[in-house]
Amino acid sequence: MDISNLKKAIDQEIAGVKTEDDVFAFHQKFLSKSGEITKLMAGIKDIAPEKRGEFGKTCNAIKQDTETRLFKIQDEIKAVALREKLMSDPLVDITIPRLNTKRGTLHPITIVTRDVEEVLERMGFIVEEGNEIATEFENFESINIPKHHPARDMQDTFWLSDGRVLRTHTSMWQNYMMKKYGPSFRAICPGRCFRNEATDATHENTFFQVEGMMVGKDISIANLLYFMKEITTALLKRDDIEVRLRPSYFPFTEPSFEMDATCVFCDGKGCPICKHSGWIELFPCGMIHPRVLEMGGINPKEYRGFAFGFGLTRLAMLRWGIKDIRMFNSGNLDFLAGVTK
Amino acid sequence: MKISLNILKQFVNLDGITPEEIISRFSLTTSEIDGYEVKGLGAPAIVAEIKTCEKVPNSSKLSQLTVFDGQKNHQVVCAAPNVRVGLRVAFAPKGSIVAGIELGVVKLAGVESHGMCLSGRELGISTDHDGIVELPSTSKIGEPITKALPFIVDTIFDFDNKGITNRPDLWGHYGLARELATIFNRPLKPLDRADLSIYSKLPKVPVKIESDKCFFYSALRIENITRKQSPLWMQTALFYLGINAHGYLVDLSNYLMLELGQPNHAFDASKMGVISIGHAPAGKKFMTLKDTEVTTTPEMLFIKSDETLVGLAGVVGGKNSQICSDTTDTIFEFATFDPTNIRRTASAIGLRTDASTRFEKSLDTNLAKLCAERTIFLLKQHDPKMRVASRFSFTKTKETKPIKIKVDRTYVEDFCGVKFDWNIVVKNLTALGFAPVLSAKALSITTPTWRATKDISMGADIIEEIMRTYGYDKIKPVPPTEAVKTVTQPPYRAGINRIKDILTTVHGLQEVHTYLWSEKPSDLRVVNSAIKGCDYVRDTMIPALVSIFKKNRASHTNIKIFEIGRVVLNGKEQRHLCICVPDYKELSEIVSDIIPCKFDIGKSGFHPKNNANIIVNGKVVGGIGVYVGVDMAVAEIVLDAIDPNLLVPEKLFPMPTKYQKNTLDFTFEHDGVYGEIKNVFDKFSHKYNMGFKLKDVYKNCFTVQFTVASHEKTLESEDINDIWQKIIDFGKANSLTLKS
Repeated sequence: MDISNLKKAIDQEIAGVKTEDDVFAFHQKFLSKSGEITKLMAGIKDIAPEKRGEFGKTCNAIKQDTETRLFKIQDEIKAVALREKLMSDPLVDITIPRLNTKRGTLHPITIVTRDVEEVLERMGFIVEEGNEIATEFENFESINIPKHHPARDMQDTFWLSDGRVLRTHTSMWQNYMMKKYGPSFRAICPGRCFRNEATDATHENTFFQVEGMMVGKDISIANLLYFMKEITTALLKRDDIEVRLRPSYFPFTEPSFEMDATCVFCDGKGCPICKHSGWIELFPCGMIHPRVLEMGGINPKEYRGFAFGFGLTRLAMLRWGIKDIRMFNSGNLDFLAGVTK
Repeated sequence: MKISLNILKQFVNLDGITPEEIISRFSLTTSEIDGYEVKGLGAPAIVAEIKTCEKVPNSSKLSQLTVFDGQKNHQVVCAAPNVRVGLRVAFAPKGSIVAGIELGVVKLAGVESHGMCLSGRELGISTDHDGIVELPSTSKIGEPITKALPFIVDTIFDFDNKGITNRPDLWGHYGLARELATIFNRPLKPLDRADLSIYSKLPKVPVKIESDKCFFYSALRIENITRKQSPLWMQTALFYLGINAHGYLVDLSNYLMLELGQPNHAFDASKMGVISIGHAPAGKKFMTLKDTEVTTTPEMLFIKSDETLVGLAGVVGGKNSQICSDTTDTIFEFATFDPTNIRRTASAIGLRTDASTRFEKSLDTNLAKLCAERTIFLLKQHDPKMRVASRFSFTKTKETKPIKIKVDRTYVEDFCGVKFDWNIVVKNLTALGFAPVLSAKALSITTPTWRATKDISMGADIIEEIMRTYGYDKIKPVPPTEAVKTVTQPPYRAGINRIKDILTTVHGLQEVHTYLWSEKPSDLRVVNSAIKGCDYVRDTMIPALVSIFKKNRASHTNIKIFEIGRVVLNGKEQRHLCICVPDYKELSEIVSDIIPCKFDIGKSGFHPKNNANIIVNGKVVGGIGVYVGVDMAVAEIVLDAIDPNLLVPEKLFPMPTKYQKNTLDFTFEHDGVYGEIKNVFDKFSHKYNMGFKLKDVYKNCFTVQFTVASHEKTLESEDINDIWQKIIDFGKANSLTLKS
């Protein structure tokens, strides 16, 4: 075949290559050692010497071009075959959820406690866990609630057969923390507290609180307000919260306050939840009573401090809209497992 | 506590201030007010006069009246006994709404009635329904009743009692008026009272204090009291404040208590001998005027007449000496008692009265005399014919004295974080009754006695007074100047958090909380638990978790739960971890995953066979086993017994060898547990040993796979043979024989 016939034959036959066998046959016919292109190239000896260069180039170009075209077709044939093979794989139903296995859930109280701890740790607070059983001195006297103080009536105490009590509040841990870390420290103490009262949807004899405190040289009410605002902002994850202090009374702080924050349910406009005041009561707090500092081994003339506290159980109820406080200790796994959003 | 705006207004002008403003400002300065209610606005009646009055024939009670309302006459049938011609009455014509019912024309005993003359109850100003309200003869006929008797319109505030437990001075209207006068910057009117010195020549009422639980006792004898009913305004105010009228002397006594916060008592003088205040022998009976019987205890403080008990001091009077309808002579008591004694007595007998509530707040002893002066002033007004028959007779064991406190001005400003206008501070403190003296550097203060019983005793208390009246809203948040230090969290915290995370996320356990008390007997009990039989402080958490397991078994499969909590063992509180899962083998894997431990089989005493002690660093820290009777396994671990660092194991990252690793498998025949084989080879040491693991178990055959390699070279066959032989020898030396 001469060059033009060969080109024509290649064009004609390559259009018919549809399978791997065709590829093989085509290759044999044109590109193998005994193929047409090789044969053509062997005819170079019959070409005039001055035209041999030109002839060689043309032959090579034909060979390369044919190879490229054939490989491309071969790739396409392989891809089609692979796809056909893969399409025969069964469809995996990934919409079916994992059966029979599941993750467990932390107790809701653990979740809110960790949130609070995380916020306060970022602000340099130590997190200290206290004992649930306390002496009468620790639970009362050490934070300025002497015997016969009316505040003892307000707290229905569980008494133990060895004369000790189940702690009625985490505030009692102020004394321990002052002795361990003070002066100049910041610490919180989350923990379980007990009050001897009848239980119903809103009352539990076993509940969680957290007590926080900071003691240092020049602590002021303005510092207290600063921290309360920072903590509130971080806990509520909002930066448009205003806070205010209202007078209150606790034996272990002087002055004592209730800290209100902008009602998050109505943005301070007034709603049934905030009794139309635009404020919700969040933290009881105050400047640590000089006698409480003294009993913690800290000189009140030299150091001051503030303390605050709140109910972790109440926080959990607010956060998830839990209507019955008894669920927390119920061991009801349907409740405790929760639902993932 | 209910507070009447009408009474407050006697002492401070609050015109132009809404109840909402009072609530909001008082809450931000002093204490919370829960709300308010307006009384008397809907009173339907007008002033009318009875023109004619005749008995209705065939009726023993009814009278037929002609009532003139200033415009026309109405025919009215009325059952009240006190109807008479000329009486001015509160008249509700037909169509008025009385007690929620619209009045129509009704026929009574055959006579038509076009309206009603109202009783105190119908008018909503008292519980009195024995007769109709008698209006003063000066009342203007035709006027609406709210104009004729302006006191029936009142705003009653509900103060939060808890917020003022530390403020004995706020348990009466006059003290609250002083507080409001300060808040709203208005003058407090002085209290009108009588001068008692003019009676100093009169005989004494003999009084003897026999117990230091009585701080102050004074008495005044008053004779010839003829008034029986208290003024209508007083009855109304008492009714709005929750106290029923009982006749003039009792009403006056109650009113004085609400006005000044000083409880007091009126005895029937004819039943009184020599008064002494002291204790009584235990076991005697005392009948109170509330018709309850009290058995005496040695702690109770009594008022005695000669040796008869006539009053339980500060709590309640005696039946035997109470005012009766024919009492004309009285002995008034104005006293101060030990607050703790009163509180304990009241709570012991379960009778907290208005009096005991106030006494237990620590009253100023000087308030007693003020109350006596006020009593005489009001008595003179209400019953001019009465006669003071004794001097103001008092005796005391204790006296409230003003306290002097000096604070450094810079200290106060630093404490609050506020720069003060000190003139405003002085003005506010003065309005509250303090005597402040300002110098260049300090503020010296003398407290009034009514703030000196417990409320104010130190600088911090004065700072509170300064700041709250100045306005807490003047404080702006300021970060502290002290440098922040990084803190080291106490041990166990990270470990416990890690355990909780692994248990919930890796092993799918549910965290639960259970109560501290249990039915299982222990060394420690809650002595005043309401749940009898379940009052032992737990020394293990297993029963509580088993109970949760059982409770949920019907509705759940594969229940896996844990709790980290506190128990008390031998008087010592410690943290425990308790885990319950259905499968014993899985439980052992879970425990091994969170705590680097070994199991000492057959020692913990759960199931006779499938149980083990949990050993950490050679020490028993807990137990694990199949829980007999319930299809589950439990483990309980004393977390406090484990080095907290072991609960957060450090990860190491050694360089892997570049050379080829080989594995050598050995199958041992062993009639025991794998742990025994592991214990043996844990001690095996060779320079090419890179560790071993259990590869397979079949019956009593354990296949252990060793990895051998070197960091220096690819091992030659003689190296491998050497370690291979040494492993076999080591096993043999420890009674482990290869499977033949």
